[in-house]
Amino acid sequence: MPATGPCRRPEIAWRVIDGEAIVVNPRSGLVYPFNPVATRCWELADGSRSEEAIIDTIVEEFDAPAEQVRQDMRGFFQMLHEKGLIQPTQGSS
Amino acid sequence: MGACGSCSGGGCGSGGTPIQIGKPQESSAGRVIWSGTGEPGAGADQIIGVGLGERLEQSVPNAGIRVESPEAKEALRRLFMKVEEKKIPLWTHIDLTYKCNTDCIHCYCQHLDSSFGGAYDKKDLTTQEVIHLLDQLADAGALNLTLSGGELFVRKDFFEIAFYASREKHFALTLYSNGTLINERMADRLAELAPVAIEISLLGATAEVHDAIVQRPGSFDRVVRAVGLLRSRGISVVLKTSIMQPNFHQADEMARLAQTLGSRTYRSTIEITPRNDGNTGVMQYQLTDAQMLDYLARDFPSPWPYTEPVPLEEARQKTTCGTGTVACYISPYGDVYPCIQLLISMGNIRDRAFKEIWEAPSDLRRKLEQIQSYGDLPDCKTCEYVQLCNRCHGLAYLETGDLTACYKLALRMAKAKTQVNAAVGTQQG
Ligand code: SF4
Repeated sequence: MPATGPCRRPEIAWRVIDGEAIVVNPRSGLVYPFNPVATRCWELADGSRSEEAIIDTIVEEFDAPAEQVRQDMRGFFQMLHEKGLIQPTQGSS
Repeated sequence: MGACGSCSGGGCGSGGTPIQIGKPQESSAGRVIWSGTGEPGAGADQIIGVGLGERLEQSVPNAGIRVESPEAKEALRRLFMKVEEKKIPLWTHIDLTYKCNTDCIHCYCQHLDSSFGGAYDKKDLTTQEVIHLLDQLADAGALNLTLSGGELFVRKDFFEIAFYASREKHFALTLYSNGTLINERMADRLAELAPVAIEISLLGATAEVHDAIVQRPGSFDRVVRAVGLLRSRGISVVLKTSIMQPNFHQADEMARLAQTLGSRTYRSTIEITPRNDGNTGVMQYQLTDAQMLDYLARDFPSPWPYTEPVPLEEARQKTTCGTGTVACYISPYGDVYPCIQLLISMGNIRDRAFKEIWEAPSDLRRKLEQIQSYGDLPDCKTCEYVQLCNRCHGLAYLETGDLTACYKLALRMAKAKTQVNAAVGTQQG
């Protein structure tokens, strides 16, 4: 079934250590340390949730100012796309 | 695959002599974080052997929602401190088999599987045993997984294991191979697998020399073809050489050939180590002191980087490798070791869960925990060569039976480095 929201590329390597992920793009060899918010977002990005649904979850779980989080999250998803860490999706809102 | 500088490609990074095409050679024993990092097109794709605390600056781009690069660097540094504190085996090396289709004269592997003519009735882990092990390693926090052998491609289930490791358990894979079994179809599957790198042994600049070392005619041509197949599919290839008596005269040509073939990095080591059963016969291929000096003093492929001498009290504070803390090695028979060189078994995964083995208190663990710096070792704390020495506890153990003893090959190399360093210093001064 095609992904409906942001979806981690299958070949991307990652491990969560104490709530913080180390993410490796094997094609570029680049290493990305994610903070707890980015890590949660990454865990949720399995293709089954839309970008907005993920953002809503983050706002709820981290009790942060909604507008600020939304803005940061959009930038974060943009970065994930640019760095080839997530794959293009169908119908992400 | 023979003793191809395994250490320099693994978690420890202290064993080999990384030589970076177009980059300064490292003189310190920085731990290798990843086999390769670098923004394609930014001229940095040759950066390898990223040493913790030394090379982060070059390797870590803006990350996640941290928009400032210094924040990202600091985040990674902090994460690695946690990894060390919690003894997470972030770098894990599994030899899937010691069976091999070549027979390198300097190989350190002693296969024990009687079905392959080995001396004992030890059997390689089955597919299901490896899969179960990968589950446990992922739970333990392992991320960078090196799969090697023997020749790993002789295992019929290699792709089943590798895809499970990558797609189901999200490991970053590095593969070591002799390159001779890679054909078009395999190269296609490897491209799909997307390992961080495939490291291949290059043991001569000509078929005559390479094939004589691996004792299989036609191997050199197959290696050259394999590198082409992998590179044309965008797979990162690292060629590496054990420099020894039979190929010393081609040292420069091998580095040039690696560059021509498109190796992202060429890595060489002058360490020919005893076999893993303690047999020291292979050490006859080690370079002489004069050859070592000659090799280290060359300007090609990269000139010796001068290191300002520091007082002994300061030099001996240098940290030793992270064996038994952030790296581990598992043999084809399921034995767990602190690293590929320190062959004191901590237990077997056929008897106990990995976590239980890794976390169990033991004399070995206590001993390793007591060794944080060179100053904690009886011979090293007064040694005049400590600053430029890259010792290995495991090889000291294989040489002498005492992991805290002086590692004699490191002493020979440290003497040569000290001489070269002094000469470069005089020239520069
Ligand atoms: S040469 Fe030997 S004694 Fe000196 S620092 Fe190296 S391992 Fe220790």
